[in-house]
Amino acid sequence: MEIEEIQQQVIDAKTVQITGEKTNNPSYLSLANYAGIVEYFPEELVMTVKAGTTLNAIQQCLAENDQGMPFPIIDDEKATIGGAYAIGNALLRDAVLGIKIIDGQGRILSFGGQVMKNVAGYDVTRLLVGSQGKLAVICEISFKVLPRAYLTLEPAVGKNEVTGSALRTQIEQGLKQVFDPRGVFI
Amino acid sequence: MGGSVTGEHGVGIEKLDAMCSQFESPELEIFHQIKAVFDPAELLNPGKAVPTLHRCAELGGMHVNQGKLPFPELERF
Repeated sequence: MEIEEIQQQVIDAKTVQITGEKTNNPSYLSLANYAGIVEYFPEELVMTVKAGTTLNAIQQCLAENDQGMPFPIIDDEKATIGGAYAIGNALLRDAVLGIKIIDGQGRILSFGGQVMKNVAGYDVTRLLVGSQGKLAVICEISFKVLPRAYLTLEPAVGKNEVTGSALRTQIEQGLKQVFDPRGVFI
Repeated sequence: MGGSVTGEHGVGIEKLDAMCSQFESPELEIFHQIKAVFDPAELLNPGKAVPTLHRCAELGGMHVNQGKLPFPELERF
């Protein structure tokens, strides 16, 4: 599956529900066939994968170099990196470096990169963590990896996010307008 | 390549032009819209960090004659 096929589906569809599972249901956009490791530099501790890649496959590839993902792995053989990103958690938000997405207007956009240090532009890569497929199709994800010995998976201590406040709702609605003005992603 | 025009010093004004080489117009447009969501009145650092598309066009429109820019002896950023 090529990224242009996903793009075409978004452009043609009235509504899109994104899934990492194989499905014949036409109301779903499945990224199950958009999978594979795009780039992996063990010495740079960076990996780029397509969103449909299973966490198991990533873990196997990293294990060859005694490395691992610095965020919690969902214990399900069908779980994909795209799904983990869509659900989101603090450690994953720390680990991601760049994304390639398709927005609600069907545009292919890239944010962030494959480098640890990057302050150019707003941090859309981390903004979209936990967006649950409501803002864009996440197609490719670059993230940091770590040697196994350094994997702790202790979640960072922080204040709980305030949900449901008027300001937050206003910003969420604003961001929906930015990324998906047609309301394609449901 | 997946690199970045700046690693730890912010873009500010000085690196605005370089943003045009890292990001395409639609991506810059998204940045402007995100900014507008958080700062609809444009009170906070207007004109910094993200270049206007006009600025990218200005840079792209530089006159090159026989492979030379005007005033080639001047240092460019």
